[in-house]
Amino acid sequence: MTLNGVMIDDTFAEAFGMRATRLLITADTLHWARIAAESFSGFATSVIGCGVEAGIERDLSEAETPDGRPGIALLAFAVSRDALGKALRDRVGQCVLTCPGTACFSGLVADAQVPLGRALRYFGDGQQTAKRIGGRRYWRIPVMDGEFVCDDQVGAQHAVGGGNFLILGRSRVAVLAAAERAIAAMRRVPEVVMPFPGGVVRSGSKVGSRYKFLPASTNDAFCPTLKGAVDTALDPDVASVLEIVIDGLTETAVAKATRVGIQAACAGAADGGVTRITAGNYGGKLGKYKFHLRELLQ
Amino acid sequence: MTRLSLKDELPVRLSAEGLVPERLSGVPVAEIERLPLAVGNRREHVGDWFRVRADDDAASVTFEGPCARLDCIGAGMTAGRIVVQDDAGAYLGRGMRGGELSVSGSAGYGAATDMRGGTIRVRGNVGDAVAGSLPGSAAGMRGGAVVIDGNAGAQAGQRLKRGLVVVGGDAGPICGAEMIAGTVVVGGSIGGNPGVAMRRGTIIGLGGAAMIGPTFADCGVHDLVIFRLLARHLVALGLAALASRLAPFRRWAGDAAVGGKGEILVPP
Repeated sequence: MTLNGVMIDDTFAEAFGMRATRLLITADTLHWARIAAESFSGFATSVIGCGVEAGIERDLSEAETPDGRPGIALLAFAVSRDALGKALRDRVGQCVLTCPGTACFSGLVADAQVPLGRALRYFGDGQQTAKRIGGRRYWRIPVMDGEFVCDDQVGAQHAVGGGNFLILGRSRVAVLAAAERAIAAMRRVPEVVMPFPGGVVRSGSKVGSRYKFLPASTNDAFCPTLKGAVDTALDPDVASVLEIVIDGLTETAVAKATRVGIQAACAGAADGGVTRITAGNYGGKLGKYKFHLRELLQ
Repeated sequence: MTRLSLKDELPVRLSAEGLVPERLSGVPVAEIERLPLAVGNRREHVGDWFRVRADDDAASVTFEGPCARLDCIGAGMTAGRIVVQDDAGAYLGRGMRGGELSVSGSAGYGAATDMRGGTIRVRGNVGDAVAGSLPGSAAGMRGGAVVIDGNAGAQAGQRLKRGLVVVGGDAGPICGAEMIAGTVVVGGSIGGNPGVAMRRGTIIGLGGAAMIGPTFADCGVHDLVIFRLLARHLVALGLAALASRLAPFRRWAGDAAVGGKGEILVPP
């Protein structure tokens, strides 16, 4: 199967069950809400090294936020509810509570909850107060520019993490341009984030390494500089590979983002820069979800 | 819908306890008329005092006629709707746990006492001790919302533990005394000594307060996010005009006499 002259591999992306939440971060201006959200998600690329994967879902208008101020919707994913709660406590505590004028709310209605304000409230040193308004319990923590207000708990739901596809091409410039096109299109899909820098990852990994302390290491089969030295997965003319990892609240959202991303990456690729699209998997033995590339594109 | 029309002005106080939608909906008129009613130490029946009509099985009860001496309307109700097309007596919605209760006139002493949930709307005024506690009880209202378009008497929200009390007009003295938590919003002015011995909670006096006790500390004027959240909730309750007045407030923290962390908010 080809799309705009780009080969689509007959393979699938393997993804995992995760726990996720959506945070609504508001501030006096969108600028400061974005700073808080970017701080939160700056070091949140992979659960392996960061404990959580997070990214900005979209901007929010004043009408869409609980306090009527501009805001950012942010999605965070972790391997368990406990891990998610710990990540929220640390990251909201260090990146949002500290950011001028911000407030933090739950953006997900779900049966399961993870603590937010009830974990952060102790920063108030006894001066914190809870306020229940319309069935929601908020915490008010005194800070130097007024109060930090946040929800007592935030909703957490089952989600999908690790959806992916790889873009292979003859030059780094061509592959990066294709990845940028894909990310631009995928950011318009709701309920997904691409947690790596700019949404793109160049250091795709395989499970394990020759070192005991390292659980994941470089995916040498996809490293162009090792084509002749290892059991490579690359064609002779491939000079660059970039991966896009997708975390989503639902399987449907991840599937849509994958389809939209591949279509955008392949659009305008007929000049020959991009040669192939493939996906990462573990033989289907580890992940709960499988996204077959050709089925998504039919 | 069940309609209960008082046949005449009540010569004595009468308790409407038990005449709630969940108990009356779907019950034949004759059976409702035979329900017992305690009048002083006499045992009488609903049919002796009310003309009963049932239009359909909807979980709704309407009280018609001069109800100012009819106490405990909606007491303990958990669901459905009660409409009082006149004044209501004492203890309106006492111990109410859910549903809607609306009064087109005024209500007497102790409305929403020990309330746990649901919504009460009074178009006129209410007497003393709205949303307060039962004698001997550690806490007053513990959930739901009470909206009074007119004025409230003394001791509104005494020992309020949870929920929202909105008074469109003025509130009498000692509003929010011994408050444990919750929110009282007064559109007009508040009488003297609001929040005496309050431990937590918020009292907002949009028209100011007559006298705030010396055990409250002036914390200055602030425009806080929590006001915006409260304003959104008021808009959802149909109180947009009141919500628009939730501007920066002067915050008085207290009551320090009991180590309280409550607050009284008044215009700067």
